[in-house]
Amino acid sequence: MELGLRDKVAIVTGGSSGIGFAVARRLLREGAKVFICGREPERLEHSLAELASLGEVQGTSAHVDRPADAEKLVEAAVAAFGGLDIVVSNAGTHLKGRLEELSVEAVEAHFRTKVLGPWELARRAAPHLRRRGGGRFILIIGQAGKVPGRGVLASAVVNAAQHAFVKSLSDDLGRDGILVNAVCPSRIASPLTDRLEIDEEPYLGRSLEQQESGWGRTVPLGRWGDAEDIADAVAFMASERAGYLCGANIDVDGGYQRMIF
Amino acid sequence: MDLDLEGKVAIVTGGSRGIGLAIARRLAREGARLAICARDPARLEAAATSLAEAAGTTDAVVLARPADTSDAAARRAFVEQVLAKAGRIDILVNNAGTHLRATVDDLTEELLQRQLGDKVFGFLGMIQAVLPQMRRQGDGRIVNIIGQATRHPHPDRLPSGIANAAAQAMTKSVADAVARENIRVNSVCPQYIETDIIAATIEREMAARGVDRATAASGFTRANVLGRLGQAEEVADLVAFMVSDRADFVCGSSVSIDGGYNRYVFG
Repeated sequence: MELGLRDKVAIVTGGSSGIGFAVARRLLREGAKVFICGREPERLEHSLAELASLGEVQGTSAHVDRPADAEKLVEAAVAAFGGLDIVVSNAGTHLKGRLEELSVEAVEAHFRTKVLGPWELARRAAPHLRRRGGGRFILIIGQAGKVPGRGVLASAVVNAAQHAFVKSLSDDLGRDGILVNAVCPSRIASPLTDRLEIDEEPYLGRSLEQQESGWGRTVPLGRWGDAEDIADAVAFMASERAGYLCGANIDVDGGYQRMIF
Repeated sequence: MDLDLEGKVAIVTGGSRGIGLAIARRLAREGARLAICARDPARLEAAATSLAEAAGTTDAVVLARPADTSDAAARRAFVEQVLAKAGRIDILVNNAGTHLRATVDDLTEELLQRQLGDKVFGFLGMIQAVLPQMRRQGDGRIVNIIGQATRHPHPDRLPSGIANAAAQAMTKSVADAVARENIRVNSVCPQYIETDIIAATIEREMAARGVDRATAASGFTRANVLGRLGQAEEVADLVAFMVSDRADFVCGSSVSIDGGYNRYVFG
């Protein structure tokens, strides 16, 4: 299916590793020009070198939780490629811990990275997207937003705020032709999940049969996904084939989340 | 993006017009072989011709046969014929279903039964009919098309509201049940797509309220963020992605395609 992404300009935050890197690679393969950012300059350079053979790619080191960095990132991308069509806000992290382990300061920093960072990025990007007659803003939201649990308190609260941000922002920008949507991964093998201890609570919310069969230990599909799975969903949402998706989200989680709609 | 649908055998119910036909056409363009059913034989024949044209080959149409998917015997017979002709079934798109309007004051049990017959028993029955083959293959992709009356109950859409919510619950439950066998079940949830059903609704509004087309249509276009009706082709593109190898970790998900109509933060 032709996605119509050729020569579109895309920013991918957290694009130097894991899901962000896979998104950048997929968009490049579809013919887009891609501008990535990451926190560590060395890894960024390494990733840019790896992506270079696939198409036009540039990048800069940036911390998305710093408002000034968001502005610099957007301006650098526009300067590099002459405009902006797509923003994939992927940079984020997971804050694990039970109540007493989570200081208000830590939760605040988490909120700054995953909500206010994308907020400022959208604020800086919107004028450029409007100038092109519209565009796409895609937020990657981990499934703690839909699946709460012990020890994922901070991520659950902040990710739920990300969902509210996506839906509200889609209302705010939709009439300008800027479509805001989300892709919601879980159980995706990435550098972030290498260190992740999965679920001390495989029995929570599971029926007796599911507990006994071990079904609850992993997702319904019985396997983990990879970063490519997320990249493909993002590419579809960024594409011209997704012009009527607005304020929507796709779960790419092997069936993990429990909402029926 | 290559969807890897070449040679896949796909059933699309209600495939003779509107969203169903657009889905069948998109899948045919991606190289899939189509089996479509619908109730009206003449429309079905025209649809089969248009599919062969879209794909550039008559091989694209395995079967186009009248069938009412609310009828258990018709479902079984249709699936058996698809298997006899194609030998496999990779994809099922449950799309056939009418949208019946009624309020709590005028809804009859018969009308609700009819609505459930299409969208709950029809969808579930088709899934049950194709599952044995998908299990043998160790691969299957099922998409249920479920309108947004689920997320937006409305007094005069009582039958759809009830049936669609049931269809969503069915989708997630069945997705859980068959996921380990590498069969992915998801739903795609359109609203305000420019089809015959919407056109007829607009005409009814015009007659009932004595207003012109633009005024009658504005009730729809104002109701979503994008301020326009969607096209059947846009739904088809999403469905093609969902049944493709590119979505092989998408399971038990419900994706809205409604121009921003629904008011759900997590939907």
